[in-house]
Amino acid sequence: MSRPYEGSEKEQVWKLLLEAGLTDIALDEFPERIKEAKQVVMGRLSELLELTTDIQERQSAAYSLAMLKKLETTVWRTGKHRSSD
Amino acid sequence: MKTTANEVGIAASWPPEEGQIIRFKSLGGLKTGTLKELRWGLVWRDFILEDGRVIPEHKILGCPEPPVWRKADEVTQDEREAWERRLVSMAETGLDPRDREQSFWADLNQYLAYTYLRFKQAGHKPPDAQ
Repeated sequence: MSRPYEGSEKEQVWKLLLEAGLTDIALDEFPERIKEAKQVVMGRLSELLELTTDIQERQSAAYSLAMLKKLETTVWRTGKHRSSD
Repeated sequence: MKTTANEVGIAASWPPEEGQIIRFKSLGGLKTGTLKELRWGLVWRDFILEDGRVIPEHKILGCPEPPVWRKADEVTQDEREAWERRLVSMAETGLDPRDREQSFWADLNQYLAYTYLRFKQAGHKPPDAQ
């Protein structure tokens, strides 16, 4: 269905995600992993804000950031409920 | 454990077929399940088992390493937005992503991996690459 990564690119992506701990998130690591993803999006967003072009990607990054924030709040809230059970 | 002719490992081809018994790495060690269907996610394929568990392809025993993954820029805006709506909906119904091997855990895991790759790689592209 799609054009997958090939050769060394495939290995680099695999390594990148392994190092970021994103291939298999452990039970209590979601808040930390969401925080890291937010940092990456924020880094890209700050680059995009300096460019006058690519407004669409800027909007998309801002939306993703908001989405991660929302998920972060939910995960935090659910975790709190669980620990008080 | 007794192996059957239907169990992955005997078959030389990858991926396994629907109905095959697969073995995968989990918290408590190796587990087994019957494959119901294969589904592409935002980055990797998920193996949906007959009991509803969702296992990422790279956790399945016998999966080639590194596995075949999609490129972040191949995910359409519609697909991404549908995925996000589903995540929000699951979050709002009170599902806990820490329920391992369930849909929310699997979908959130893929979304974080996809978002990370999408912006990490975009940030490393040379200025004239877009």
